[in-house]
Amino acid sequence: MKRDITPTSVEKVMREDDFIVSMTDKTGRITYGNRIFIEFSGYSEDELIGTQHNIIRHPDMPRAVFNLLWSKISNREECFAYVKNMAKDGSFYWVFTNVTPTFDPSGNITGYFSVRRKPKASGVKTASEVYRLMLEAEKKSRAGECHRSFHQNSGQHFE
Amino acid sequence: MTNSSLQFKVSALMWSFSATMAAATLTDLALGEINMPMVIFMLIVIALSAWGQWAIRRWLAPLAKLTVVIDEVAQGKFNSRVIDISEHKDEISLLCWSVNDMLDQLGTFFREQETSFRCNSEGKFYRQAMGTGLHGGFKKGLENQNILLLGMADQKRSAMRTRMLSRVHTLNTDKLLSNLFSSQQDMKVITDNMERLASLAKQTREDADESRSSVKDVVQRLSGIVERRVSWILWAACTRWWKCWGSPGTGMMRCKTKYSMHWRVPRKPVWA
Ligand SMILES: Cc1cc2nc3c(=O)[nH]c(=O)nc-3n(C[C@H](O)[C@H](O)[C@H](O)COP(=O)(O)O)c2cc1C
Repeated sequence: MKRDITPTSVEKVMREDDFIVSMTDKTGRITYGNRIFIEFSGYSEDELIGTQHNIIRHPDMPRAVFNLLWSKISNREECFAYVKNMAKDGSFYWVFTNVTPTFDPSGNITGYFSVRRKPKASGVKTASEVYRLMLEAEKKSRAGECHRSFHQNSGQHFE
Repeated sequence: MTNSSLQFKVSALMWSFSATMAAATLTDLALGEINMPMVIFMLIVIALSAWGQWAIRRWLAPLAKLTVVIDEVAQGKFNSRVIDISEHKDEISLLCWSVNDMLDQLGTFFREQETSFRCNSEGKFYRQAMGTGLHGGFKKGLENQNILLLGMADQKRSAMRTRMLSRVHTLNTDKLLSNLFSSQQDMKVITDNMERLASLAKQTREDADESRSSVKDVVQRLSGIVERRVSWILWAACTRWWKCWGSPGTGMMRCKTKYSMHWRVPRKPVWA
């Protein structure tokens, strides 16, 4: 369920010694978000829990990034990424995210855990340039098809 | 709800208050006085107690969740959180958020530690634990751990280097042995060849000696022949000259007389 929000050019900047924490189930549905997540995303805890994590997806983000993210974490690896997120009010905030799988005692993935830290300004500069080019390429080559089928195949994602 | 639970205690307090109110009103009734305001108060107090009972259950509900979460932490599990925390920022909901914050710090600390240890054991020494966003002792703990990891990585690298060097050494020794063996073989072949060459050379020399001596022989013989012939011719010439013109009357004459028209062939000289 994604709301129609028009992105604005208002930026929120993370604080140095804070991090945004969120947890999801195996399908990417939010099961927990900390207070900083609630503050930056602008949604209430109620609104966040049970919804897909793409609720804060920014239209400037190329699909390939999330493709990589999902292929890594479902392969039991951790993933680091610079992500531009969009708050409920349309403002954006950059994060340096680390997503790791959570395992049960017998080693099966039960969900995912992500920590988002304040990103380096130089990293944001590079990432936004690269993402802009990627997005252009994706728009040209309609790469979105692959992404959707990836999620359908892996069954990790319900929209 | 047990007899000692907080919810029971608060409910009991409220209901005992209601009961006292009810007792007072009923006593009045029994004495035949109908005190309307008292009856209304009594009804209000009973209603409040009923609502309070419901409310207190709701307000204290997070405590049950907190207990579950904290029990899990005591078992070494950091993945549970208290959710559906009331929007009203009462002490209990603040306590829940504080517990969640604490668990985020703990959980992230252990995840970072686990991931960086695993990566290091896989040789990805660049994956240090990230302390950003962690507070106080958690941050310090990861910083110390990173120092340890760096040391371990150094040791591992040098152990790898030593192992590699020793493998190269073993390889060398193995090669050395086979090299020595093949050099030995080569030497043998060379020696054999040299021997053959030497014997060939000897043979050639012998042949040469032989041929030289035969040449010498031939030359000797030839020169012998030539000498003999020359001296013979000279001798023959001298004797003929002497016989014909040397001493008239004796040589030629006697010759002529003895052998008529034939020149006498002189005897072979003694030295030939
Ligand atoms: C633990 C976890 C955290 C995630 N965090 C984000 C995030 O902060 N922003 C985001 O856009 N997507 C995040 N995702 C990825 C989303 O699940 C989703 O793949 C992405 O938003 C693309 O969604 P869409 O292709 O359905 O539009 C996260 C996924 C997981 C498992």
